[in-house]
Amino acid sequence: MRFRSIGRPSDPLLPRSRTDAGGSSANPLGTQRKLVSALYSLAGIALFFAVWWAAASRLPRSRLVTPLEAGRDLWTNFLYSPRLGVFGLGKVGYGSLMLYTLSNVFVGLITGGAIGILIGVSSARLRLLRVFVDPVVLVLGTVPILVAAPLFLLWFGVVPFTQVLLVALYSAVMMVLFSQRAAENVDPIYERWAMTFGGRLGDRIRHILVPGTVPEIIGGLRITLASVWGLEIFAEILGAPSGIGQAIKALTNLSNVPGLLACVVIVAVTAIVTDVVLVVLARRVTAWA
Amino acid sequence: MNPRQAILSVSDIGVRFVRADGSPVVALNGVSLNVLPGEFVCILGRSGHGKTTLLNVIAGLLGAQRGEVRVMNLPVTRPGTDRGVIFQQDAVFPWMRVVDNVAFGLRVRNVPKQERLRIAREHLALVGLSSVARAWPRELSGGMRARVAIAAVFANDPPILLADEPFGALDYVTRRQVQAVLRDLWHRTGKTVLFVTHDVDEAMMLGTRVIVVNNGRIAEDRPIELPMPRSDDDVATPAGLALKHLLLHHMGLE
Amino acid sequence: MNFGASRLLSGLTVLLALVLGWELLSHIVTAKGSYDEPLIPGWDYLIGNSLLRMSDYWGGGFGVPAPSEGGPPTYAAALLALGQASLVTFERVGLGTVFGVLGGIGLGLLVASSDAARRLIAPTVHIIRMTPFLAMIPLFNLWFGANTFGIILFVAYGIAVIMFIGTINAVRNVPKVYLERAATVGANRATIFRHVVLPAIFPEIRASFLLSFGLSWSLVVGGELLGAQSGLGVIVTYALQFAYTGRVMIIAFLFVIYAGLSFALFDAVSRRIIIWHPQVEKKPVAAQARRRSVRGTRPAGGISQ
Repeated sequence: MRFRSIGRPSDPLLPRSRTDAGGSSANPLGTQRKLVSALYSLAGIALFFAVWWAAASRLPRSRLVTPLEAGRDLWTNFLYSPRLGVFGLGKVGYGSLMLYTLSNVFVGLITGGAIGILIGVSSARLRLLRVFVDPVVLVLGTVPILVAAPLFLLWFGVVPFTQVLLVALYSAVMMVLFSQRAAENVDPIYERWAMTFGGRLGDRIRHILVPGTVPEIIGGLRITLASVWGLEIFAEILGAPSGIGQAIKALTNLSNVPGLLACVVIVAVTAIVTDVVLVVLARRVTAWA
Repeated sequence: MNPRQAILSVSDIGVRFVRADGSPVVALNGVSLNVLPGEFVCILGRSGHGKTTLLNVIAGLLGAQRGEVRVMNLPVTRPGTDRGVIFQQDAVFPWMRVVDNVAFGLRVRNVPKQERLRIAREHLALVGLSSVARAWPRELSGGMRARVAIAAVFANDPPILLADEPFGALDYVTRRQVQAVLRDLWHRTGKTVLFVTHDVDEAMMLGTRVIVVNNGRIAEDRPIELPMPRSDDDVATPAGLALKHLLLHHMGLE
Repeated sequence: MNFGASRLLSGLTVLLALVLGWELLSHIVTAKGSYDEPLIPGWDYLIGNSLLRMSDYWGGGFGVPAPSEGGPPTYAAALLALGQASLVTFERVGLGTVFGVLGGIGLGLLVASSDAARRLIAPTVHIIRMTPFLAMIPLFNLWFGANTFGIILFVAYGIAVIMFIGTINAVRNVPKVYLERAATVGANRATIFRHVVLPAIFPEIRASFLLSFGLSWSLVVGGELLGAQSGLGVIVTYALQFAYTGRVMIIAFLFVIYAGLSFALFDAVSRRIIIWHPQVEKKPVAAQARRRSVRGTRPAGGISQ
């Protein structure tokens, strides 16, 4: 009797085993795999901080500081940062500034996104509308929307509206594209099938088109959300009454590396957390997908 | 049958999988068989009963927990040039022209360009695709791509040929045409063929021997004593019908 | 009329409508900002004044005197100024994109060859990817300076991240049957890599690159707008100080045209290379016409565990 081990580490360039042959261990492969997955994630996160730490210890303080120091800066300046008060931002800390950024992003994303979804889904079905929406979107979509940022600043001034408008415009364009594609991808066979049951337009929209497009639209929202953080912060750096972008700008002028890193950390964390929230929400809504 | 004469011998193969939910499933439970050179063995069975698993173990694409496979008396555990494979999915490389696809195996073995292209074109002629040698696979129909796969595997001249339901995606007419192509090449070259299928009629048209795999075990293993080359009339005889019923019975369908 | 012609017509109609609508708007909104610049400059103002005054940014040479040294504002000087600035920007976006693509694909292939490496690096990649690129500009300025070197690095960084993720996913998506077939004819790892993996991933890499095309222009604009000393973006910075809306608009137009042209060029060229791909159309068709696309609930461009 000869035994052959199955669990050799997989080489992605060689064909993997056709199906997962069970190992000789007593563990059902299911839990074993989940454990290994979790270990990889933890090790990966540890690796990230380890590399950061190593780099920080070799580079001068003017370039990089350790994660601990950045964390400390984040902690002390979260509620109130005296050095930021010098820049006319008032009695603020990283936290309140990030809140401004967060609220702008969400207002812009939701309003722009809603408009975009409406236009996108309708234009997918209405040929006449489509013929005019497409070129507009093509032009607006390829423009680095950033060039509009200084223009908006000139027109509307240093107010929240300027950033929100930028985010909303970008979100609308992106969601038109995603929604169009989502509506197109709903296989017409479903609607035809419904029609054979006597399903009317209203029913078909509610029971086929809407559920059929939701997963892809939420996916599009996720991608758009990831992009608009940068847009909002960029607009804030250009000119805004508040926002983490203003903190970044101020700290850059002061050449304050711990503060700058702390701001980047808080932005990254916010982006990651909101993404996770969106994913969880999406899963609940599209449990059937 | 004398195992020493066999070109392929499979001894007591056992394969166990674990499903996504953690429950184990035994795909193959002690399968043994010996194949003599030149046989056309059809491995018949319902989907999910282990015939593809058996083929994959023989091909070296899947490891077994128990048992061993020997080709010309040497044990095999990985894929190799001694066992050519025609896959169920379309494996024709879309980024290579047809002739380069057929010559690929030769290229891997560093056969000089002139030589390998000559051999490739020869085999394309044998399957009737000379006119599309320079075409891209995307321009071909499913049946033509199946023929490219056949030409490619024969061009490498492996002693054993393994086919995993290669014609399943083709329509009835095309399937019959391609079956004929394969059978002709087999006659011409005298290779040993193992052909997996769930289609009893296909097995009876092509094979010199049929093995039924049912629930991970060999339920039946007998020669097909119908004349070669075979026509529909040869199969629609009392002997043929009796065999068909027997096979369906062992598959669990009657 | 056929689909193609009607789309061209509608496109031109829309363009015409935008141009006319803009002119109309400029007559409705006649308010002026500081320094007497209209908030919505009409086309005659844009060409007569804003474009002409681009000559302010010309330092002299080629027989065209610089207005800053007393010479008259001329279209020649204006075009030279814009041309010079454009070249600087081209250099940044071009080199940045090239380095980013090479670095991203190279690193991606390296990591893709080992499952363990890929899974270990996945959290780091996720963090880097979720950190907004534009928010990193001040950090890059601090590290490398707000100059051509710094901007090239910044563009390369952004592109590399996208191409890295795209490469990893492309390698994972190579249909297993191709790898199996190669193994059954006796190919070793190197051969499989060269003859199967590389060609198989090319379409997906091309798609990733087309995606990052818009990004590279955005990154260059962002990098230049936040502190550069030369290039097209700096003209915007100068113009902002005096609220010269017209000049900002002209630079905006230029960016749009450059980005659009370079995209179309790359799309056409790369299309010929992957002519063998079953889904590639021989003529460029707008993405909207495509039927099959990726479902959005897949991890949006990240490395799936």
